[in-house]
Amino acid sequence: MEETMEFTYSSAKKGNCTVVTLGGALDAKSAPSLSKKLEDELQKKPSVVIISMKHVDYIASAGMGALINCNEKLSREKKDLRLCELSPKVEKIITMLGFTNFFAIYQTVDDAEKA
Amino acid sequence: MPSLHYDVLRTFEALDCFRSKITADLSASGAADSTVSAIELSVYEVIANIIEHESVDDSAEGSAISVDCVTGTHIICTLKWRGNEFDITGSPLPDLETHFSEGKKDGLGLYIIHTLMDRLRYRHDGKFSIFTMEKNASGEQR
Repeated sequence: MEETMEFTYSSAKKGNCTVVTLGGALDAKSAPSLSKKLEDELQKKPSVVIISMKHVDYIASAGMGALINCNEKLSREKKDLRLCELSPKVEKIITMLGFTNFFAIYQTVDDAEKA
Repeated sequence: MPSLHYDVLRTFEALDCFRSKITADLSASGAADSTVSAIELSVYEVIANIIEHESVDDSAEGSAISVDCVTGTHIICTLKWRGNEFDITGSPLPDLETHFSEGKKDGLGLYIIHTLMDRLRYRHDGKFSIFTMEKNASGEQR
């Protein structure tokens, strides 16, 4: 049986980008915390937010909603949210749901930074 | 046909444990990975919705959510819980373009369930909601 990892969040500056690394499950339990942390990140007025999801083992609608909300807030200010390093499970879910057209998705953090 | 049964308490901790267990059990039943992922996510969305929006008095019998899955060429999952009538199948589907352009969060769970499942049925017997979801085990699309 697969273990459910605890939600983790860290962020760092890389050039003019903020790179957020997420881990664990982005679900109904962790989504409020994720939304709050992303909101705090946006207060720092980054030009680009890159979210690495290689340690995310699950994403449900609540986690998706937090990312959609962050994406919209950045778009409104002509800034970018870029997802990268999707874990196989997250990639499968996002693909199944047809969300790949709505997010900018890259293989690596470097790819996302150079885009 | 083989069947699986779970009783899930209305907490996110219990939901996490259940999600791991049903995923392992459905994988062991031979269902396609895409089917397992679709059911895992859809069942999660229904139960998370019940936990967030449905109230139940603590003393009520049946405060846990009962989940029964029959596996075969189709996987049929039936969720039964005590509470007010709430027909998930009757709500209008959200427009995804609007969700993304306006940063909306509500209704995504509903979109997920409708998108991933082949068939949904809901009824309320006056005391319990009974929600059935069906998915082709091979992972073929409708």
